[in-house]
Amino acid sequence: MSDIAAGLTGIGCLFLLLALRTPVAFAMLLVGFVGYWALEGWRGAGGVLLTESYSAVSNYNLIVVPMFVLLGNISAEAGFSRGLYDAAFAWVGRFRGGLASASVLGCAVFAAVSGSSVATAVTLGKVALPEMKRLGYAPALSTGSIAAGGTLGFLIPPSTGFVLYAILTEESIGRLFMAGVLPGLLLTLLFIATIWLIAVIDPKAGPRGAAVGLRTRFRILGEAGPLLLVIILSIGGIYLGVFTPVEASGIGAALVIALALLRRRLTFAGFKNAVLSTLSTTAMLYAIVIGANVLNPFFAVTHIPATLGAELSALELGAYGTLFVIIAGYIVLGMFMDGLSMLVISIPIVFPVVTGLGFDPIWFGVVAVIVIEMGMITPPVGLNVFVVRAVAGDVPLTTLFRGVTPFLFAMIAGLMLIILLPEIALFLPNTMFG
Amino acid sequence: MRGTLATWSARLEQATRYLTVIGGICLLAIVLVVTLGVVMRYAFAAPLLGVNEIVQLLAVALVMSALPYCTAQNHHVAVDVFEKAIGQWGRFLGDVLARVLPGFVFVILCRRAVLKALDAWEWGDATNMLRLPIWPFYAVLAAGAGLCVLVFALQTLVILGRKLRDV
Repeated sequence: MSDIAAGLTGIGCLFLLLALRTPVAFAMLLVGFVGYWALEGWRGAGGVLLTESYSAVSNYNLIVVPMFVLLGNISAEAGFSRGLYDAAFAWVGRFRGGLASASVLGCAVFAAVSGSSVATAVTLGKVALPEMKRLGYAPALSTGSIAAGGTLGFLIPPSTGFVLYAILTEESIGRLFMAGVLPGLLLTLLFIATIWLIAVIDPKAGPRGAAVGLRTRFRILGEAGPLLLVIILSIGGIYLGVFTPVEASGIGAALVIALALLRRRLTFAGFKNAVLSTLSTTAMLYAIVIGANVLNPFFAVTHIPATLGAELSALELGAYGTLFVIIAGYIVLGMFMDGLSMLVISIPIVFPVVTGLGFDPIWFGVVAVIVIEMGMITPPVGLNVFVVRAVAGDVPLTTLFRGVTPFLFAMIAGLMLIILLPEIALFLPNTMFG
Repeated sequence: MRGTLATWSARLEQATRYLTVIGGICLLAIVLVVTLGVVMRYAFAAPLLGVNEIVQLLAVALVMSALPYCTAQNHHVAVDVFEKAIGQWGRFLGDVLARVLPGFVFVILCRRAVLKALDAWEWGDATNMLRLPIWPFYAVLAAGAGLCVLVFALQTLVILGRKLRDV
């Protein structure tokens, strides 16, 4: 069997194992180990298994994942997410579709303490959905805005997507975090514009909320202030070069714990829940990194990335044509696969092709993360949609998917802008790092 | 037999839960060490040496003590979009394969990690900055992988037992 045939067989086995519901991490681990064993022998495969597993679990940069997950979990347990939502509502609630816009803003701010789309959608969904139901919002708009807003968790730093991308491609986590800021804000604005448009077309879908006086608005904002300060400190600290991403994550987690304790917002049971949930998420994510680390050497010896690059070049589509083929592939995969899994499986194959075409690796990280986010709200899998449905309870899936469709178009518009104007992603990292 | 299996399964799950206490301590220790490193550097102009190495050691213990719990609770990400299409027997086959095959790889990982730990202990391998012995890192890796093997084995037995009962 040629190396390429072995590689394609490996990919086939990987998808078969995934279809049989083998956890993504273990499917990659297994295919990587057995594939390497078949091509390079038992001894080599055993060596790769140990060294790659060890390098994953002892990776210093990857520690930002548990730190930021802890930060997000403690914030949720202490009820800080409620404060963020209240502040967002006080400022934008009086506009058309104001509650939905406040939810998206809340998601964007919560995304700055949480690296996960699902966590963002669940946390804000629990707070915002009952409010929107009470004010008679159309279920499609209320659930759609939360599901779409949740995807910001994967883009706005700290993002687990960027951390994994950085580990897999050996790019700078700090640069990627900074590259996600402006695209995250752009998507937030596009989502709010979409809500406004929906509410203009159908005013009953998103009625205005009660207006709040300026003084009250500042008072409510002040209550959310300490958490906003944590966000500004940690993300601003990375931007100004005061902290490394690992230090920012540690400082952020320490500050949020201190804040929750000082304000007497954290019970022992809540703290235990937050820590246990962090440990479980950490183990799940590290297992995926171990799996990807063991799979990559197998792909390398099969020359799959190089062959794919040569095949795509042979199509003579040009750099952007090839990029659109890759994006189309991501969109199709996103319909069936979870975002993290898609990222770790595809990046080692696609990254050399994209950088070979002359695209900026940091910019491509942003593009890949946005396309993967789109997969989180597209049918039939759309993880965020299922999560929001679980929180909303009585909303049919068809209504939910109808509700996220306008936001999907907003994401496509945002993606096009970032492809046409790469500076949207590259301005901050280039200003900061040169 | 069924009762014994259920008891052992419950005990193992309990053990993985106890193990998370170590993981929790490591998690909080990392927060503390990283914060202390920053405070010492900026407030006292006395940077802590070897923070990276301490964090790395704690990270190994954190992940390997949480992995058996995450595995026992089935918290790993899986693709279940084909769940209906593969049918009852497909799901059964998938459930068994999803434990037996990774279990096999984890046995090898555990064995390799034990051998590496013994090797590092014999040769006195140490980290660069703090000269911390590295054999405990590998020992923790081996222990975590070994516990995962036990979790996989018991889960497989439970699945097989349930299927036998249904058939």
